[in-house]
Amino acid sequence: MTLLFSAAAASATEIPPDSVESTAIWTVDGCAAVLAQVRDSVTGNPVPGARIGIVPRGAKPVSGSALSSPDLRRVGRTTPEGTFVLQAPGAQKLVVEKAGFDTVEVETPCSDAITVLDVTLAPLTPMRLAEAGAAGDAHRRLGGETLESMAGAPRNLFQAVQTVPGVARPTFGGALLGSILGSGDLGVRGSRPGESRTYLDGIEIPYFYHYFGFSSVVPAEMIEYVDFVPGGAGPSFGRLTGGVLDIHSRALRSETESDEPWHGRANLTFFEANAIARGPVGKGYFSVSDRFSIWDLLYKANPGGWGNGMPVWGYNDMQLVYKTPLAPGKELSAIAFGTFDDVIQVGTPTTLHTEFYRAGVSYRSRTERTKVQVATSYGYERFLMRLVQPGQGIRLSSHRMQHDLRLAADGEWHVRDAITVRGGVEGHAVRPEAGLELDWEQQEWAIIDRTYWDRGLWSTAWSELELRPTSRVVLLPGVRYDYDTFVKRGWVDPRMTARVFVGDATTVSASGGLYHRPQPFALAFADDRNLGLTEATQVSAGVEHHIGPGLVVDVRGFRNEFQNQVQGVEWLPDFDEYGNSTIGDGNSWGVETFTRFSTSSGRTRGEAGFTWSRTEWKNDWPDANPNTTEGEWTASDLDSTYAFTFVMHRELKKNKTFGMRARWYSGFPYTPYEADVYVPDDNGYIGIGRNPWAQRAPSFFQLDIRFAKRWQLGPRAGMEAFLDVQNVTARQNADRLNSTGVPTEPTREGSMPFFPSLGMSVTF
Amino acid sequence: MKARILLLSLLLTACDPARVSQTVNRMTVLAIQSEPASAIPGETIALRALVVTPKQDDPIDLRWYLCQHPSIDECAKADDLLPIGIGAMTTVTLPPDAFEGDSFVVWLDATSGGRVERSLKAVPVRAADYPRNHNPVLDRVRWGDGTGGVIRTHRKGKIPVRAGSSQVVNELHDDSGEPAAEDVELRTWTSGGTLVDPSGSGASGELYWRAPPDKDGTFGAWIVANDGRGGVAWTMQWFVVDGEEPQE
Repeated sequence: MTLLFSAAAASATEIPPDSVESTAIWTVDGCAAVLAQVRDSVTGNPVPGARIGIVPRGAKPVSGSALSSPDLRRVGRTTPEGTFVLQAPGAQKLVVEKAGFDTVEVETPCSDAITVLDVTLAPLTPMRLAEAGAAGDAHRRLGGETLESMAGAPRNLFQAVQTVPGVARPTFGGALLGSILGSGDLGVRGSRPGESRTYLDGIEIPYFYHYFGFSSVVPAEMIEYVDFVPGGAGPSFGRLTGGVLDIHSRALRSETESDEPWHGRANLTFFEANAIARGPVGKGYFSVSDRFSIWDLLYKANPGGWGNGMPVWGYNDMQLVYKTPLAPGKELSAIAFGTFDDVIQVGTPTTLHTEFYRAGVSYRSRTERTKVQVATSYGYERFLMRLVQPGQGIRLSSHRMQHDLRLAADGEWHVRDAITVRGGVEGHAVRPEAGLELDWEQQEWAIIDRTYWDRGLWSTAWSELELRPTSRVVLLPGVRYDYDTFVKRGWVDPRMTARVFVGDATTVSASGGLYHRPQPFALAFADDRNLGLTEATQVSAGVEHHIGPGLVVDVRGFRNEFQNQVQGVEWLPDFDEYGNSTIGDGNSWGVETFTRFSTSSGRTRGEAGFTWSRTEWKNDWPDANPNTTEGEWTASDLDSTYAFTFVMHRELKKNKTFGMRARWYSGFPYTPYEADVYVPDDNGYIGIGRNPWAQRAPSFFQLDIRFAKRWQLGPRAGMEAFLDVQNVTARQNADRLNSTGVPTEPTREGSMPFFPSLGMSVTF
Repeated sequence: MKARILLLSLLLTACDPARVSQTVNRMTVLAIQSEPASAIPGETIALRALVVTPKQDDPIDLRWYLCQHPSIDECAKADDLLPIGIGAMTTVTLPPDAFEGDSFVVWLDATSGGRVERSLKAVPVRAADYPRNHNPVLDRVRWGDGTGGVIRTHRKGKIPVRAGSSQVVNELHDDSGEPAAEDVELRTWTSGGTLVDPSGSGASGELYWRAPPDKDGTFGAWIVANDGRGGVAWTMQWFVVDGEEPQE
């Protein structure tokens, strides 16, 4: 309970601040403090996280909107209870902003008694939301608070995203391999992992996880929200055939937060620690965060105490963001982030190493009718695997790396009320390299010893119109042109999104377009070939309906077609000039529902997803080998007919919270082998499966829970202890079944075991 | 190729310094030998198989078929096979129009006790002017004291084994376009007890057979030398284990 009282200003100065409750507030010039209680005008629920701005008393009187006043200062955000205490003497004007609501400006009274000010925010109608003018059929947004607290995805934003409909169930082994090889793990509506693209504040990040997939390479604490577009992405997003994961960091999201004091959070679990701090630096605003693993620190503290051959895993990721206003409406921002993972084997040169780094600068200018941004960034990524087994005489070393220098500019011109034009250009100078060495140490016999590198350019120009022929219709036609010297050709991708607002509660939308993605460099090193292109046609349509306060249902159907899809492992250079056996076609269609709910009290909220879908693929082997029986349409390895997901978060009494995440999926297909043929020379079997991908693994179910207890240690300091348990029922799921060719039952690819994680956080 | 390298990588992380034999607990085709190990179009080759069961005298029926496809993967799924022989050995002539660089693939169906085991052998087709690949030669083999016949021992008995060659084991070749030497690997199986290669290299001929600690009976042990290019050779021995280790 906040203690409020008033006193004369003179008296206030006589009372040492440390001797009273730190929330004590006095009058200044006869004006006492103001307690603002911010609520949703429809549900009556408190609105946490709303941004508070003030025009101070004594400033030039505001004639129009306070938002245009040069004296406007942002002073913080509402508490989880939707309150904000404005210290005496209050303000001339109070401005309350929250995404999804109309901005409210309130005159604050000057009284010698504490004023409790009720502020109600009216939710924007769907046609006024930012998403209304954004291309893409559905924007499934997850806020930073959700990412931090979702059960089973302990501050791992990618695990959280993989719970929404349209995303293929990630496998434990897939996450492991994807994290080691840096190949991504987001299979969206039939697209293969790697065909979707992920951006952090406009800069692409190549992969999601630290090894084993427990932690993400970007901390949830730095995220304002994640905007996941499963299909129909607009022309500003290219070189993809899947979806878009657009991550917006907190520091860059807000227009200016330079008045917010330094604050942050630190977390500790038994396997890692991380911390983030944000605050003003000069005229600007700075955010710094870092995460590191603990296992390798134990090793470094006592390197002699570990047995030879013991694996030691270590990782780190770090992020720096700084932005500063240059003039009204003009801003300069800089961002740098990176991550690395290492696994070493004690006493041997065996090493696995994966890393990427990004750094960028951008300049933004905004007027009432225009927005312009110019940006540049540099990226570096590398994967190294070195395996040495002296007893076996085998040495294997593989590496892959890339340098990428990017220049980009984009802008928006609000021509008139019904017409907005957007456009942009982007260019990249790229230098990829890959190599593989495999030899027998004893024989001094190099089987493979090749390194390829290349350099090239790719560029793009895109344009999009936002047309509003009536107040209830939005049309977003767009087109994109790309050219890539590695492909040695250009291509055009037309896109279109349309929205019709049927009343204030229902939105009908559809989107479609062509999408191209250059295949990975690894497929083109051999023999100086050109990169191929994966092509996709995406079509989707659906309805979003607000059934009532706190209940929104989105139902959507989609069909995607893919040509020249890379359907195999793409982490190593393909040194076989006939190695196109990994290329094929794909189809995917289905229906998704996504329901968001919250109770009238706002204490319980969550999402439920259901997907019915079919994903097929067809390998292109017959083109090269007409005698083979491959090449028929079958279910793909990512096909999962039904998927149910349920995420819930509940605020309990006494600052406790409970969360759960439940997921049920149809099992992935596998190829049953009717017989096995032994090859003595290879000491191995060839499985004979005449019905590829015809059977399915058992269904997958996982229940995760999370308990947390928070203690308020002061006006801004707090502590939280949490227990997150993944797979709380300890169900023995099979991520996949693999017919390995051994004449036994298919082998089970194990899934996430029962995995409790106890940790604590400190906020300040 | 990629999948194999990945598999190799994963296997490497789990390697044990000492190599031990695999267990034969049912009828198993351990090796199929072609003489010569690689052949030119039109050449006749002799085929013989090492097919074993856990028991010494189990009857085994062997039938040979010719596959008409040039790769082992395609032959695994083929059903247009031509019978070419019955028994432990057979001969067959390569088609004169076989392509150099392809493989000449034969099937072997082994039947014992109602169980059928199907195996494939790919014989590389070489050019006439390309050096012949020879099967490894195991002519310096010694099981125990080298007197021959069934070796009798007790539980936990340790029998030294040597599987060597008087000839240069690792032939030079340039199959991959680069000069290289064969890497002959010794693969071991037993129907009881364990064949141990203490070096762990798979290339050392100095092994030993350790009798089972808790079981009497007759047990087989087999060593197959494989040059990785289609050449194989083998040696085998039967042991009788009878009673506990005598007390000193």
